[in-house]
Amino acid sequence: MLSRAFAEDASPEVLRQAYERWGGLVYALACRAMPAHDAEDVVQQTFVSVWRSRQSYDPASGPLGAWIVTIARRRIADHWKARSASELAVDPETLAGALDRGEGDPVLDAVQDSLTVQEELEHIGEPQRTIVRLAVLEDRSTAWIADSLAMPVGTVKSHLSRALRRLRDRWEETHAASA
Amino acid sequence: MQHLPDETLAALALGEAADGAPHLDDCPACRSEVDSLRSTADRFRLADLPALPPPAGVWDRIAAEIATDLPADAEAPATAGASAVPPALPFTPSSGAARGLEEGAEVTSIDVARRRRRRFSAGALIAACAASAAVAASAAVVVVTQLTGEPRSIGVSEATLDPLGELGPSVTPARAEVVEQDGQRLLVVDVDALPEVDGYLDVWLLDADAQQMVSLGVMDRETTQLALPADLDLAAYPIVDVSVEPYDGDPTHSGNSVWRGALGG
Repeated sequence: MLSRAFAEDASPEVLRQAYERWGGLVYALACRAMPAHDAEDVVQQTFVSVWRSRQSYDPASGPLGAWIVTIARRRIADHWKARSASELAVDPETLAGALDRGEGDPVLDAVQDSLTVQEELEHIGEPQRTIVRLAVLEDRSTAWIADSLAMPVGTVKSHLSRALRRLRDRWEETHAASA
Repeated sequence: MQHLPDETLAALALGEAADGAPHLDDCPACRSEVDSLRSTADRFRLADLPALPPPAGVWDRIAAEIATDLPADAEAPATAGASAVPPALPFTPSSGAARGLEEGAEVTSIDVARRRRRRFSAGALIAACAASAAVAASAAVVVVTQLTGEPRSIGVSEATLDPLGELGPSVTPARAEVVEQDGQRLLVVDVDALPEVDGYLDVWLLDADAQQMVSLGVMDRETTQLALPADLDLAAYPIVDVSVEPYDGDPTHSGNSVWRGALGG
């Protein structure tokens, strides 16, 4: 719904709704990569970028949440690039390359994984998202999930199987790209 | 040898479907698939993180920054960073922001706040009216104070916010105060402890009938300062309200308030 509203007529109000829906996610991701104060700046830069590049958003290529997380990924990389130039005296391009490939700093590795998970969760949509969260993160049995979502156990199992494989494939792709 | 179905392998990886387990002893291929899915699940657990509401004020800075784009839209917008996304194309006439420009409206972050004024849904409205009647009946409101210790702040008015709603019994009364600091009016909301909520806390100003409202921003700490729009008439919006808002993308008031009280002075 929000994806279509954003693509068709991106008003500041729609941006505000997107911020309310995904701002907390972007902030949490950024906080994993840097101090909270810098993370606030990344949230701001992300949503300003979302606004300024709104014409390039294509709902056919994926939901708005996944697109926002992708932009957040770039703004987090920008932050580290700027930091490396000013403080670390490391070739910024080298570090940016490492960031794109998700290697090097263990903190950044964790951020990359979080970004990937959130991007994929936004992509897979419901009910797979809820099912995989309940099963993996809350350790609920398939019987419990089937019961609470009023869904056949077999359906829950096949959603779960597809969601897990999809996540694994995505990680393997990222890994292959960096090799 | 026949391999196990995908669904069974995934279930085994998550510690279920014991009836498929014996097969794993004899089948390296299925065993390796289960191991691989198990480490995917482990990695997923490590990578998960709950959303964290950004501090109040972040949205205002975003709104202010995009507002500065609007009049200067003919120029190429400056985007930060080498990997910046492509610059925005000019507004189309169908865009809401462009309509605002045509009418000569001053487009600022406050404009965004104005768009958020909404009516309650019928059920919430009844609850809100009952609550504001209760506030009117209570005489325990409002003394004008001078803030001590902050020389540049001048107390304008304040309110005691009474707990209400389902979280009401678990929280103590809160205080809200309007102060002026460097020519900017701020609403300072003070609570003894933030309640654990499913979503986030949003601070609103309501009119006396609780029909019109302005969202001021997120309350994420025990003392939260929120900027008041310069032209906002506090006499028209005298009631401070703190609500629990779920992350549902709906910008309107949830109807689920935790505190409410009337400003005076």
